[in-house]
Amino acid sequence: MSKIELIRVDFRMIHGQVMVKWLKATGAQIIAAVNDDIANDPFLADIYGMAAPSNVDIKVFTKDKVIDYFNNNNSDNSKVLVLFKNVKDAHYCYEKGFPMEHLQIGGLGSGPDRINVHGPITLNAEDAKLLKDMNDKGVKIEFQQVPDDSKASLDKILKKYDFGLN
Amino acid sequence: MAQGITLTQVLLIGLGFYIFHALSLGTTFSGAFYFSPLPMSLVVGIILGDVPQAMLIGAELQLMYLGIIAPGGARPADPSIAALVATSLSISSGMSPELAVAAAVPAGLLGEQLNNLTYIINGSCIQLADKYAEEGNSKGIFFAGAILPALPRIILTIPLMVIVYLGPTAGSAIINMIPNWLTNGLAVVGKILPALGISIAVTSIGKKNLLPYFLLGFFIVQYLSIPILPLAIFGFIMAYLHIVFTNKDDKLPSLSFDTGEESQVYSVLSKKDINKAFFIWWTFGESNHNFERYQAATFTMALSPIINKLYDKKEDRIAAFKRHLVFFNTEALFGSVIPGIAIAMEEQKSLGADISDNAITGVKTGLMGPVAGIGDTLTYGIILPIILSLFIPWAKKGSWIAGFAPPIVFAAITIPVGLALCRLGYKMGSKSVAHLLKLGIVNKIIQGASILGLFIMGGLAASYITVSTPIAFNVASIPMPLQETLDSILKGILPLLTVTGIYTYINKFKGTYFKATLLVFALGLILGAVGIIA
Repeated sequence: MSKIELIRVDFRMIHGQVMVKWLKATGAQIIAAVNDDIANDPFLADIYGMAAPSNVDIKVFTKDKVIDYFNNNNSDNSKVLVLFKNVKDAHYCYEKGFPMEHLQIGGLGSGPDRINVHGPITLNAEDAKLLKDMNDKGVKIEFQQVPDDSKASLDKILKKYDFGLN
Repeated sequence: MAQGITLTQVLLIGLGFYIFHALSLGTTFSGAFYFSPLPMSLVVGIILGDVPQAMLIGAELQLMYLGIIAPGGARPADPSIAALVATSLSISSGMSPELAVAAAVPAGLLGEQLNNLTYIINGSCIQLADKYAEEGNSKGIFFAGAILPALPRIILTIPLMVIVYLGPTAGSAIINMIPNWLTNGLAVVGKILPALGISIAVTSIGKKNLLPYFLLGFFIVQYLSIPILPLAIFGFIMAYLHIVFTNKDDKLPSLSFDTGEESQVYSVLSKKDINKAFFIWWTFGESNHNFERYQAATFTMALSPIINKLYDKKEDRIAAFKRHLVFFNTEALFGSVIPGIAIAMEEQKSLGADISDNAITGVKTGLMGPVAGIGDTLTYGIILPIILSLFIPWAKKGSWIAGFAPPIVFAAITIPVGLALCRLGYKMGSKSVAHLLKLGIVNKIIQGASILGLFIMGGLAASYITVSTPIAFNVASIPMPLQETLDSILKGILPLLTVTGIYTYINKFKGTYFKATLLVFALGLILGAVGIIA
């Protein structure tokens, strides 16, 4: 079965931090980009597929397809970096049986209800609740932009900021 | 005391730093200040009247900061702040370059935190831009995106001026206080630090299967002592041949972006409008960087003259400003294609085509990531380190050229590329990116530039990592220096081990930049103080 090196939530999906830093840090040969909108847009799916360096394969999946792929594909043993666009999608896939031990939060965008919790990485109450749920069920969740940067665990962040979960 | 610093000099240094670095005007011009210590060392050297010494310090720092990149704005240290502190400290207090460089390392790390502070504060500028957008006031958006963000950046400048002002006093105190063993240890740290910069550069440039080119560059320079510039010529030819020999198609992809297929002709807009948009984009691409929406204000500023021209009704203009003031972050050079695409979509929309706000935002945000992935890899991960490497020998000779040339050369190479990409984006619309990627030329350029980069890094490692051992054994009362024995086995074995050690630490043990720096300091101090390495 494919070896999942890193599962990351990053609202920018594929961009410099992933392509320059995490790709090298993980040695991944496949990037699995999970997002229904991109997967259902032939133009964007095409661009994502072609944005890969020559030794890396970028595959775009819908949420349901990616669960299938990782649970039924036994022949391939490539190293994989999985990208989710948002916490909701990651939570959905986890609940439907996507194999997830670790989850990295690399960037969740900005908005009126979002506060910075680790450098530029933000969090809101809705995402905090979903992450805490996964955390309680045993997924190790850490916030980190790039390998050069420090990381912070969800526990630490929830202790520091109040999202009304307790 | 001959040395010292006047208040005028302090103010001039603050001003120079503010203009060239803090304001970040002209992405690929100020990009050289953002990623390299050499230009800032020159500025300080001119003001303090000792350019050769300034450039020597710049050279030491350049080697250690060679591979620094900042995807998504995440940069481990600020090389320009380090250069400013080290250069002024050394010239004004007579501190040795090694000691000054060691003192600058924490300054570079702290400096980055100051930068992050301005990115947070600049979030309020973008909210002001929202207000002006609501009024359809494009001059207001320009004020909020280009003028106002210059204010918080003064925060960066003031603490630095204080440090520079206290430099001579603090410097002399440090020199008098510091024990001999520590001086020796720091000298060794100074010799190992270039290996850190080169390891990081190799990590960001290289695919693992291309690493033999690093070794080739290393041993060619070790055994034949070829200077870096001629080495780069060999590297260039080799990279070209590698591409030709591994090319599966009959002919190499063309270097031209032209397609013959143009979906957009200049109808309402002229070539001049597109050029203007590109130059606004290039000039302010990083100047209002903020953690809330990154380059949203610049993108809107670049398009606003066109929006004003295309839409007669005020409410249409307001809607257009608002739809562009959303999160946008890409690598500004390759990203130039995206304003081009957005302009084409706006023109079509203004002529009555049924293009929704979501369609425009979707294309922008869909493309910004993949384009940044390529741009960060190529522009800052490979091309800039190569340019900087070529000027290190000049810096080592104390020449002003090494500080003056990098921003100019970098801008001169990249502006025509960015302009061509912006025009291509306009002419072909969203198809342009697919077209570029399908040509295969981008991956070929990345591969060729990686080979050249690795080869030059090998040469730099051989030239500038100078660790050696003073240990000698007495064999039948004749002293046998260990270094000679090592040289006879493999020339440059210690520098090579140093650089492979740090490379392995970063790549295999996932060492962060910060931890790697601490490790180099700890090892250097111990090995130097004990006398194993000199």
